[in-house]
Amino acid sequence: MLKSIIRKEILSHFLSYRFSIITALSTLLILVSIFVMYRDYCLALENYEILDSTSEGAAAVIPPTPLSIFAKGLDENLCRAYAESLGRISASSKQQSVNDIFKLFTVPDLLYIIKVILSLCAMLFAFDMISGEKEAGTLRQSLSGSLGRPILITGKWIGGFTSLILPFFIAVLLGTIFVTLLPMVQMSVENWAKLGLFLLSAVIYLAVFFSLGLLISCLTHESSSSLVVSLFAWTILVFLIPNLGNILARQFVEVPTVQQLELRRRHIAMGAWIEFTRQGEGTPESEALLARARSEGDQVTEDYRNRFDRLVTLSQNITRVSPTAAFTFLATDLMGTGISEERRLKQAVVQYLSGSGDEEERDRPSFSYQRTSCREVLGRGGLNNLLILVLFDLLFFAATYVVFLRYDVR
Amino acid sequence: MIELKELTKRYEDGILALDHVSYTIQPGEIFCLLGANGAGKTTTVNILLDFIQPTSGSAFLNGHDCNKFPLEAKKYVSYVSENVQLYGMFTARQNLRFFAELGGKKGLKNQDLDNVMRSVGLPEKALTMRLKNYSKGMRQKLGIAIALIKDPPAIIMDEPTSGLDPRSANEFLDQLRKLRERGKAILMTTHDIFRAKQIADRVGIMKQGRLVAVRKRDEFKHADLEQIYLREMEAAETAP
Repeated sequence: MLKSIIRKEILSHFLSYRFSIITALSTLLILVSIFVMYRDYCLALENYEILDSTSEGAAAVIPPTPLSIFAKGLDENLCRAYAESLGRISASSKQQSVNDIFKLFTVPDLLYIIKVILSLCAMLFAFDMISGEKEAGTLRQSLSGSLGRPILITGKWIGGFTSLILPFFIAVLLGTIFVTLLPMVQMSVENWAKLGLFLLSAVIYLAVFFSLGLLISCLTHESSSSLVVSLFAWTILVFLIPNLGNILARQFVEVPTVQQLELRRRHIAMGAWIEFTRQGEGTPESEALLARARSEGDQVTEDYRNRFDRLVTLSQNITRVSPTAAFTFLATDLMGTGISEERRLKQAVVQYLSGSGDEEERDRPSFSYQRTSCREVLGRGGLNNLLILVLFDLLFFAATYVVFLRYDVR
Repeated sequence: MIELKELTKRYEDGILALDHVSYTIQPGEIFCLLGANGAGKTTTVNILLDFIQPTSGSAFLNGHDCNKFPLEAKKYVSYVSENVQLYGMFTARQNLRFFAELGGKKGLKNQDLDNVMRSVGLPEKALTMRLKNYSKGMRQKLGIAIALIKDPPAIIMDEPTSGLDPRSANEFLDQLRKLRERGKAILMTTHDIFRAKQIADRVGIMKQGRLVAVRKRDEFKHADLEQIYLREMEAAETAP
């Protein structure tokens, strides 16, 4: 019976206009996205080559990753040229001009398509699977026989989700073939593994929204109500919680602005300078004074970094209440364009630029940086994000199952 | 065989929909349940199909308790609703195959499905037509085809002739007679006294959840069933 239900679900989706429209739309979007993001990647690569050849070891700069085609994340930040100036590390903004349109609108990468558009498609696939059948009377007809409700709901889930995932995979497959044919993209085995894991997490992520849509369908008795509630839930999970998380975290962790930080550092430096000129150059007291001022400045910077890291960590933890946030963190970390990657890179840059001591800039070995491997990503919290998504899946499906067992089919 | 024993249903809002209703429908018998809206006809059907639980009493299909062992009991029944609702985007054949598989009939050939559909009077061109293009009469016939292909001993019909034109209703009754000849126990709820008189072996008259009268065919064959119905309803009203 399960097979019959699955087959029927797939067939009924395939015959619907909704399926044709969603399939055409997602295929077109995915292919266009890959093409647009490839052009962006090529520009980023060109910029990197210019920066790399002109910096002559004075700056730390890394090439963009080809995986940024799929999830751009913070790749623009990561690919800036970091240099040391007056004892401070600053990032050049030269490379930020790759495509300013992306700053006005959302970057149309595969990550965006999955987390926003396909998650909506998942809910649009599921919202009337139960309430719509109740309205049509087919649910009553199906359950009038010896068909158990657990089999029906499981079959509906499998059949409906297969119908959703199939066009997605076809579109991604076409996109991936397209990427492999592109001359500027060189994908390593590690990158393929990361892409594979990214797609797997995308499937788990879409299953969350599909299960939620099915749950809402079981909680309502009219498809119009299901649609309204589904859209409301989708808006909260995809837009509201991820944006509110940061605002909420700021209520608990106070982080000074960059201007305030700069002012404090300047204040320390000015105080030290006045004292220094009063005591005179070359005295042991003045040397100690300079050392103390430097240490105080470093402490202020360190305090700022710690607070900022705490804020980011708290924001991440709060926003993980939304599967969209958990998926975004996981996907960008996997693609090497996430927050963890940026932190790791900054540490490497600080180590590189401040650890060179009195070496002449031109004698300094060029900066080399390996992005986080697939295994490291999973070890550093990626697995937690994946488990959060799986937990959402289980939670929503279990709730759907329980609610459907008591669903009034009359 | 369909059997109801002291079946009672009181809804959460306090309304008594069924009040100690008992009757048995034997194989090869058509039992028509008559009554106004809210008399308890559909509640009876809903309990038999395990869509709701009775407050007390039991309902049995082929000896299996409908509410304690619903999946086992429903192996022995087919259901034809007032508006046979099937999948509009599927063809008649696809619908029939799906519901046959739910009824445990697997591996049926197209020929088998077509033969059943022909036997209920569906025209040749309708066999591969999408259901969204079917008329109500054609859908009801397909509902009978679904009941036939499962071939259970009992069939429950909830207002099956409602909204049918006279010709379609007559064709439908012909199909019922064939089912009776094949030994099916048929429970049919209806408002249509005229059709009930034409087809029923027994009629049950319900009022406010109570089965106020049961009349055999001999008792209404040459009488005005409408008068009997109205008389019984009046008597039930004045009864203590």
